[in-house]
Amino acid sequence: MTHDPFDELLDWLDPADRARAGEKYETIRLSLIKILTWGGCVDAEDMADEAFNRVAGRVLELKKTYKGDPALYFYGVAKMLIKECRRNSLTHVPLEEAGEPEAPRVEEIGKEEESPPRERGCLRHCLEQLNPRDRELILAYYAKDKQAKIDHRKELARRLGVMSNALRVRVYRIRGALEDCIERCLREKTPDEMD
Amino acid sequence: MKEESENDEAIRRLLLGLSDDKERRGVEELFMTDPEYREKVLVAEDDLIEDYLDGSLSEGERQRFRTHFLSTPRQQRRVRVTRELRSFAAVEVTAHSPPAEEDDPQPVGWLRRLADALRLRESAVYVPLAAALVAALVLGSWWLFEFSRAPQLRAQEESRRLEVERLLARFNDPSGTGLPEPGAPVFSLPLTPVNVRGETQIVPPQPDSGVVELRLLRAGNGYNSYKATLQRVGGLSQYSIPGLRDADTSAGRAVPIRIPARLLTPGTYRLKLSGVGADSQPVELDEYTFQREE
Repeated sequence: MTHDPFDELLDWLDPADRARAGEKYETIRLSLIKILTWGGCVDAEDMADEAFNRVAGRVLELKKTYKGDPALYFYGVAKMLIKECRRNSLTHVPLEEAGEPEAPRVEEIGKEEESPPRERGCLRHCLEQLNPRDRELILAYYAKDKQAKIDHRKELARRLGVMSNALRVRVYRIRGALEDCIERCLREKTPDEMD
Repeated sequence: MKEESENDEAIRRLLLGLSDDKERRGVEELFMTDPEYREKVLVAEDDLIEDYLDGSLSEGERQRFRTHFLSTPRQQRRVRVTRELRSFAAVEVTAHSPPAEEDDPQPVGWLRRLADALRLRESAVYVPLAAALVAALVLGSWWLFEFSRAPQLRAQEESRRLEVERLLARFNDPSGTGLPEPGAPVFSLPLTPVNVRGETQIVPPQPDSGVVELRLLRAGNGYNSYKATLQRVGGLSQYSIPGLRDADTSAGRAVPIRIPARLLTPGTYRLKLSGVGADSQPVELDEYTFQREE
């Protein structure tokens, strides 16, 4: 019998298959990050780790008493963390700003959307890391915008012999890999190391 | 179908922070437990970002997108990355457009059947006739093919042109926010108007990540802003670059124009400069040329 809380946690997620437990762990973590982000938590990754810490602290008890999909238990913890995020963010905002947030000004939006050089460097670096087929597909998919993109993507789906929705999902998966790579790149690289 | 559409709406409301607690819980619980639904939500999130970048959200949705969806650095980065990816893809696809698909080889079996029917067994007659028929068939097919796809090609060309113009606008944004990353090689070249000098100025090959800064030298009155039109000699498309400003450079008063080096394929280019005064009416000024070397 293991006593390490992390091992116990994996055992709770899938007692029969440790690899599948690892996959479930990663899926739940990424889902929590999304939900925490939608909930307005700025440090969603740290909060997702906090959710795992809290669940790991109770996992022996949960294994005996909790019935149902463990993912939903994590969700319940995430909901509490979102409330904590909101409370904490309010305590850091001066009183006059604590009401309904105002829309950022146009120039601020532009600033938010402007990629810093390092991010651009990481995007290029990560595009090069994709296998050529995926790279070609994602570039073709995003090559058009506005009205032109609709016809373009229909044509792309036709050429690949898939439905439009399947194409979107395929691109979404490539995009996921790309974003993971960008995340790693931003953590690891300094601007001097960019291609 | 209706249920699916309502579900899509629920996802969109969640992403924009417009759901009530019950709806939010319903979507999020499915998101946590159903892998297919999870993927659907994430794809919808990508679509929402693209709608925002396309400017196709309603004013209300746009406001919610800004205040809710963009409220965390992670979401802001996703939007920036999507925007960069689209700019990069537009240029890459424009620069490396694949050649048009080749037509299928023309079937010739029916030619022999026709010859049989006409009893044209002699090769002296059959070969020239076959060649003439094949040539007519190929030319006819080509004409039909080109005729049928002309509007589509024009639309594609127009779309490419707009993408390139958007990129040029970013590189020449007076605020400087669209500049490439520091350290990107910049090649500067002062250009004098064609009616002043005699020889064509040369832009040597540059790395793809580089920037060519052309400084259009000019004398005479200044204008509030300038617009340049760039065209490759022999090319069909013209690219407008509005909102340019003049500045003092080491070679004199000039209107600098920055062009990503990867857009300049070898050839001769022509630039026409107009000035825009207080009345907003453009006035044609000078013309410049340069050559991008092989």
